[in-house]
Amino acid sequence: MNALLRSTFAPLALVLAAAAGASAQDPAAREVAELEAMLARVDAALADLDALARPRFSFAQYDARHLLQRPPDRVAPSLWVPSEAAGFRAARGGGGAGAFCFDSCEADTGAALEPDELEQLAVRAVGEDAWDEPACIEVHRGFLLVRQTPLGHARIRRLLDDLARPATRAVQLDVGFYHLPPPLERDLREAALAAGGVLDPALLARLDGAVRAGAARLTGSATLSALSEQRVYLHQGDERAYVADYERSSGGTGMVAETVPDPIVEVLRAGLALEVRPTVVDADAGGPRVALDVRFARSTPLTFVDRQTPWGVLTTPRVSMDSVRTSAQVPGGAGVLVFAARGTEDDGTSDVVIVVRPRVVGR
Amino acid sequence: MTRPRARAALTTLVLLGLTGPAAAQDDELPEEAALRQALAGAQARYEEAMRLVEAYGRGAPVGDAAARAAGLERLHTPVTPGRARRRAPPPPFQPWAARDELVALREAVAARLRALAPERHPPVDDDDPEDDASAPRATLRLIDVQDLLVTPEDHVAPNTGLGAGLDASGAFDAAGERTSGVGLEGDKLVELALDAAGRLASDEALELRGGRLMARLRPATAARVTHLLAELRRGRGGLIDLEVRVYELGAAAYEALREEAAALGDAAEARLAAGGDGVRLLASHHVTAHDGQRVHVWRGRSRSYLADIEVNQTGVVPVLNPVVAVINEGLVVEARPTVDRARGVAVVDVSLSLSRVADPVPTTKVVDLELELPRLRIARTTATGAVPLGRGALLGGVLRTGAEPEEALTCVVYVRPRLIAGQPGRGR
Repeated sequence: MNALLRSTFAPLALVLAAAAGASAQDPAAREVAELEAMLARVDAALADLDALARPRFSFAQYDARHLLQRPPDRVAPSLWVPSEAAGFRAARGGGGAGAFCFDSCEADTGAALEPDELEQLAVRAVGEDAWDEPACIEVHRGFLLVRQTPLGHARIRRLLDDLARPATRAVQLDVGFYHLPPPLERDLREAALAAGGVLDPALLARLDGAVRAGAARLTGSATLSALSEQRVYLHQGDERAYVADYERSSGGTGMVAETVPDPIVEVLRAGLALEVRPTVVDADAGGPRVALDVRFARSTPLTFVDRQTPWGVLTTPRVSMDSVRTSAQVPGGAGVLVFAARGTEDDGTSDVVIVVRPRVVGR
Repeated sequence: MTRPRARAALTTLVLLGLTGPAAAQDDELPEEAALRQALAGAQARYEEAMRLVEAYGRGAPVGDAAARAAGLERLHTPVTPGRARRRAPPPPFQPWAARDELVALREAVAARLRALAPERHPPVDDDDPEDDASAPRATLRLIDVQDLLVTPEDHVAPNTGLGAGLDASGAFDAAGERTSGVGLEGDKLVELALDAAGRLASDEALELRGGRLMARLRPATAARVTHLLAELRRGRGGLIDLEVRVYELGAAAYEALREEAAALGDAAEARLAAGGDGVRLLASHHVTAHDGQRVHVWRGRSRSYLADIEVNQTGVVPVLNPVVAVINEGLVVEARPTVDRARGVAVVDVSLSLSRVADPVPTTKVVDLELELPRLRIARTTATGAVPLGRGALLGGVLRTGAEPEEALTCVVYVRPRLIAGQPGRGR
């Protein structure tokens, strides 16, 4: 404010002072005073115009790694019995594609931007005609390096804020495995059917109440968090090595022939595995929804039968398997009934109802 | 008539950057409002200056009796509303044209002042300031910039699980997944520094040697380079102290923490610290990481075993060779914190594995070799969360419900990222 008053009234005071003194001076001195006053006023106007006509460019860097590098998808290990059909020796190496996993050919849907795309977005956000020298922009190792005016920087900050908000939005998933009495299971399924697969908070409270009262049993529980569109997993159980087969190799000469067995050692993974890809979907009203792509598998070893062969013992495992893949879309705070099955004594399976409760965090 | 003017006004706004896709939005940026205000202020200041010029041109400076009389006569002239309405709108203000006009005017005024009062307005020496003997000379300083150039190696966790000993690829190690770090390329840093320095004088030089900028610069230039380095460090400096804990958590205990699991408050932290009642701390570690670097913690045992037999058939007769592999058991946590300073969060990507080999390890005989066929209990989780800096979060794991077998492994991973201020490089 003071600066404004000073810049407005100082030249005026100069003019008045020059004019007051001028009456007593000769014409040349009066003209000099008048010109000096004018010079002061012109300099003040030029200072303002310089700032407009020649804006100051400054350098700034913006961290864009969250936009350019998404955390990778994590693929759960296979719980299938290793075989030719399920990908022989697929279990080796810890990861491995199998019946449980998402298809290996499935396109990665990660929403990371290409550096060129980000650069173009920034150029457009500032204005395509605002990039004459010395303005410049470059993406270097995940950082956006920019020389721009204060207004240009402000527009880039706004763009990056808009882009980064969904990129760093995480989803917390609470998963419950339940053993429910048939009436409660039926109620849950019917309520879910009526609400498009969604279990509302009241129904979830009823489920939790039944567990606390002992009317239902929580047989397993897990929690996971992932960024939107990222695939994560958990696995709890056993890994067991066994000789699954033998390959024979032979060689020798006309006089000597040798045949040797090459045991094929496989790893059977059992237990419980859950693989989830949550995607935050911004609905128009009622807050964000979460689209879930869920894979669940539960493998329980039943028997390992040892079979004698001329080359040694090989083992044939027998397991019971529950496996499901499904998709659903639920509002944050609600739940979804992913899977409900009744077990039978014949095949060694047991009852299970799986409920997933997603919650969007970091909005 | 109005179209050309409208076009001229639009051109002014375009050149100032006040139009375009961003300006079409309703939420005007503070910088846009400030620019509009500055434009209006500059126009007012220009018009004030030009009024003095007009007065000078009339030869009737303020205070002159004739001008006063003319002013009084004009003040008593009746106002005609119709004339005001007919008056043409003022031409749009063009800051570039106004500036050119004023620069020319200033030169003329200064020249006339030099002619009228040479003792008060001596000629200005327009020599290049670079050649000014009184200007401060360039001095050499070595500026350590290694912290801006470093790209840390990933510290990948050892393989876990039974498959790991048989194959080189680990459970956590996705192909092609490598830390890019926050380090600049040396050439890029020099380019930025030269850009910031502006045109170097004949006695100035700047180059990168062994992680240091060898800068022979004048003070003003050096200040600009120092400012650039500070700006670069502000956005990428510092290490991350990552606190990693592993809990065995009961489902009921987690229930009380569920609402704030992504950013634990003081009460939740106190609940975890107190332990008991469904909360058991299995392990606690602090590990320091560069921004974006993968680090790991492993506490457990490692054992080798006769895992397989391979046939060597390079000779005439096939030969059996034992294959010895390694099992790593215990707790393995691999984490990659990536700091988002603008939002005050760290995106923490974590993989957790807790495993235990069941003893004794069964064996089977193949020809003359005893193959070991171990069984491993394991719980593993991968998760990613955006955790506020300085706050703890439960990212994922399997909870204990009481329904699982006693020997089943359950664990939940807790992370707390904190940014440790970096040591800025010093010039000397």
